[in-house]
Amino acid sequence: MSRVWTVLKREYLENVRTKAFIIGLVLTPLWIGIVFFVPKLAKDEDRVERVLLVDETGVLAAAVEKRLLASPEPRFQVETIPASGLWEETEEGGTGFDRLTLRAGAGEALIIVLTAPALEKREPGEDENRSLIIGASGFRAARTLPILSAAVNDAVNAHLVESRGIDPEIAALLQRPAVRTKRVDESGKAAGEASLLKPLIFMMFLFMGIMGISQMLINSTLEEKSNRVYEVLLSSVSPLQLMSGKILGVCGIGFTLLLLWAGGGLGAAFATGLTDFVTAGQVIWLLVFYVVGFLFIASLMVAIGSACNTIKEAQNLMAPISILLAMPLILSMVVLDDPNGTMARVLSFIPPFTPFVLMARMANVPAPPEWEVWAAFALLLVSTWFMFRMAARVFRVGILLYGQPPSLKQIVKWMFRSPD
Amino acid sequence: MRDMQAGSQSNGDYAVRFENVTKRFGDFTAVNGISFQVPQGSLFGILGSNGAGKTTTIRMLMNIFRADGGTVEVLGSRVSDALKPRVGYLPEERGLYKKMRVLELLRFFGEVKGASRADLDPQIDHWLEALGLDGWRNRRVEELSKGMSQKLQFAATVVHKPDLLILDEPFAGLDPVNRDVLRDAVLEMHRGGTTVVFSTHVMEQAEQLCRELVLIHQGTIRLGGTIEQVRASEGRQAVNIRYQLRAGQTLDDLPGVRAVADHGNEAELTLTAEADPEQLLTALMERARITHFELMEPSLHQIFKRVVGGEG
Repeated sequence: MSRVWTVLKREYLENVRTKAFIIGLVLTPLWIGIVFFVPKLAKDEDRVERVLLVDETGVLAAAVEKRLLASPEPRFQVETIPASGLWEETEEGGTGFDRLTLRAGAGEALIIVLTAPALEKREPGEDENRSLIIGASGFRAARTLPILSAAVNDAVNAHLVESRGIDPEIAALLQRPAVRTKRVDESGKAAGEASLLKPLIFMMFLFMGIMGISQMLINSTLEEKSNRVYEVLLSSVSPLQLMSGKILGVCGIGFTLLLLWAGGGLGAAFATGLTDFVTAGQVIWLLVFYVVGFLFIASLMVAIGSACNTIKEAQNLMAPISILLAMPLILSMVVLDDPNGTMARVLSFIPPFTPFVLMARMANVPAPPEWEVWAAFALLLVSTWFMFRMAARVFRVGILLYGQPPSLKQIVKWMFRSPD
Repeated sequence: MRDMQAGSQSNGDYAVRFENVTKRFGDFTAVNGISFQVPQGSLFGILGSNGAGKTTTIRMLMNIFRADGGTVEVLGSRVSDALKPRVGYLPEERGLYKKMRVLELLRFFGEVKGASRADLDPQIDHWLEALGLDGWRNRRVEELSKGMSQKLQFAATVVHKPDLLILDEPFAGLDPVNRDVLRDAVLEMHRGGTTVVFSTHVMEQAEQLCRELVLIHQGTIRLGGTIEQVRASEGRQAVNIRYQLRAGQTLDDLPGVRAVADHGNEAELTLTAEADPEQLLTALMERARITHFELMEPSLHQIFKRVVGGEG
């Protein structure tokens, strides 16, 4: 055990002292921060959207303009232009409508054409009759479109209510939303908005912690192999001790990162008043899943690193595996949308995915059934042990093998052949 | 550590014992039924050309490879990982962590053998000084020249005070000055009581250093014993000459000569069993101006060439 510890210590210290570690420590939370929070900060208070309003109906323009000008962010500047001659050829060629479209395309302004048939009875699918909003391809659709649409719809509705003599009280009733949503946890306590983000954040941290850090093992295995250190080390330790020391050393690096990040995260949670953002149980599970998930994937990385001689060879072997391992992230939306659905439950029981999927589900409300967590975790433990043993067999052969890299088939053969 | 071994072994006379050992890689038999013993405290040579099976033999000795058949005993017991702390191993391919500092590296290699830092540090000081690396202890390994790296590798092999030292081609690629430094270091270990086993394909080194040897060729032992025994078993004599050929003459077909190692100004002539040295000298003087004629036992080099060449 002391040998394993010596190998572990060296692996840990050598890596923690590198610039790459410090950069990873700072950059990862920064990156997550950018992904989640920058869009919220990116409010552009000073920006004014220019709108050209063409009103064929002759009755809606004022109502639409009034509603647009009431928007606090983004703000609108509205110019109403006459609808006459909209569909006639102009001297410069094309109809007036065509020319307006070109102006929108050039990004000069957003165009709203309030069409006359919009006030008539509409059949489903009669797209032509609707009013039209035209913007350049780059316009800020996500922000402006809902406001523009609401303004036009409201104006049309208001006009209809008034012109058809409908009781305004009934109209107001018709517009009132009949449904509201509420998310609750097991104890029936309301789950706030933060818990929508939480599973994804947990999953991302876990994924990046495991995938990012375990990559180090490929590099360090390859480097030691090309430096021919292995034969020297094998005169002191067994291949299994060597591999265990390396994997645990790198695991420790990731653990350190995760602890620092989790500590920072908790600090941030307290600072921002989101004290019930994470529970101690969730943090413990996060660390446990990190260690076990890491051992699983690190075994894979070490096996690949030991079998290859160059980064390029290793990348070729890694490519199909990387795609497979990215599955939980690719499927994260499915999992988060229905955390206790069939897809999420099945993925929980596929070992390399278990830590990520289960972590995301456990951070959600309601949490998955306890038996499912323990069963999936037990399966993960068993398969990790199995992976570790298989990797040790590959490692044992691979580290002393130079020249032609083995095929995947050969590697699999090593895995199932008992050590000589 | 060295005191432990003295009388406590079942097979105390031998530091290493190979008994009918075989190692196969797939269809290829790298080592085929070899047997030899390395006496305790000796300086023992494993000789052979490249690919003869030396490194495979040494790796079995280190328990890096496991024999497919036969018995390998090290320091009195069946080879196992438990013996590793008592053995120092310098592989043919040198392996150091390039980014580590010299002192850290030596501590690491010592600690991974199970030695404590308190035991290691005086040894590290000693070897850094003995090998002329004293000023480099806080430098990174990548800054060292090739010769210095090789000496550092040796230091890494011995800082834990092994009872058995195994050196695979220890002098390969060293300049004469560093070769002497390393040779002195090997002799120091040997005189201190450590059993030294080293492999080489340079026969002169074996001849100068070791008392006993085995010669491996194509996975089998062709010769073994003390240097004197090996020479006696060869039973043939050799003649060293320094010469200048007369015009149109060669050293071909000399009477009683079965092989010529011609170096240009000097040549080593291996004699047949019935050769008459006097008759040879007469024949030589007709062909060349002879400035030196020395009758001697055959060199390992000649014996090696004969064995490897598959002759007689």
